[in-house]
Amino acid sequence: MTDIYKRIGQKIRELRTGYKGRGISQDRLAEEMQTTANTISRWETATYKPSVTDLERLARFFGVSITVFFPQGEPTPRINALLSATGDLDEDDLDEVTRYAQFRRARAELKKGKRKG
Amino acid sequence: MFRSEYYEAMKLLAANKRLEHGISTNMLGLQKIRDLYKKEGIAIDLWQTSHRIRAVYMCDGGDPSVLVNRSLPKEPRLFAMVHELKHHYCDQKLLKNGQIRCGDYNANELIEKAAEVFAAEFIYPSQEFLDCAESLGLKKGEVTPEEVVELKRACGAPISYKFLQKRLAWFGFINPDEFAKVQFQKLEEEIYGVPIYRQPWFKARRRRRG
Repeated sequence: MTDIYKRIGQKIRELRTGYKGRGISQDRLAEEMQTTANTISRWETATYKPSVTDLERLARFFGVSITVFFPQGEPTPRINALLSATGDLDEDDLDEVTRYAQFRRARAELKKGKRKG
Repeated sequence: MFRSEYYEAMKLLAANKRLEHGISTNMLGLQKIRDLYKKEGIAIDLWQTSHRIRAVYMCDGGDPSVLVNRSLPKEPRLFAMVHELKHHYCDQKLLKNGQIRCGDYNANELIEKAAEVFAAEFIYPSQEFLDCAESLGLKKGEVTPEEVVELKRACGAPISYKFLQKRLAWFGFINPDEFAKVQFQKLEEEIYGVPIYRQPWFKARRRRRG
């Protein structure tokens, strides 16, 4: 298993055990993720590889950016995107677009990680 | 380049792309667009966003992808996806050079309108529309809501009533807001009946089958 998944596993564990100061069990997190506790456990030990969609759902649940699962820690670059929108966007919309840009970067990181592994 | 020239160039591009990918109006659907995206190497990500965002195109790192609002109905989703194709074909350089910023809708107005022109022409070419309108005997300034329903059913294009009204207005068949209060879907159901997939017995059967 590559380092990237070990880091992701550690981060999931860290977020889970520190959730709201009290932590949350693997069973409870599994319920939230609509998966099994066994899967959560195997993500944490890097036995299973969570997909980018799994990471996005985990990030939403823990209220963090998907980028926390990856080492680079650079600030999100200016987002260059073209949108088909019905008009001006508000803060929440722009946050969602930022989230998508981060999702894309995470996907690219996972691809890189898979190639190395 | 003048605005009108730019739009004409977009129409031409749409016609060429239709030809290149063997697109004909009545066989165009979401599956065809998904295939086209695959050929072009563009990833599609269905995303839960507010109703204001229809789709977003990004291509940094040489990795083009499109966010599509997962709540969009079939026709608007298809339109949004074709709209983003124009950005893929024409605007990658601008994006890479950072000349376009996300959310700066006014500054991107020309680029966005050109994408609308491209999408409209790609999905339903103007000439096909005019031919269909003529074959149904539509007359400028005398079009009724029932005729709009007839036209939508006859044209075979995967378009919404909103699209059709814009087209009719553009060619002067109706005034832009003439049918603003008409509920076309309801009218269509009154004339032709509720489609099978929306009938209670069909919905119940689908639920039973999971």
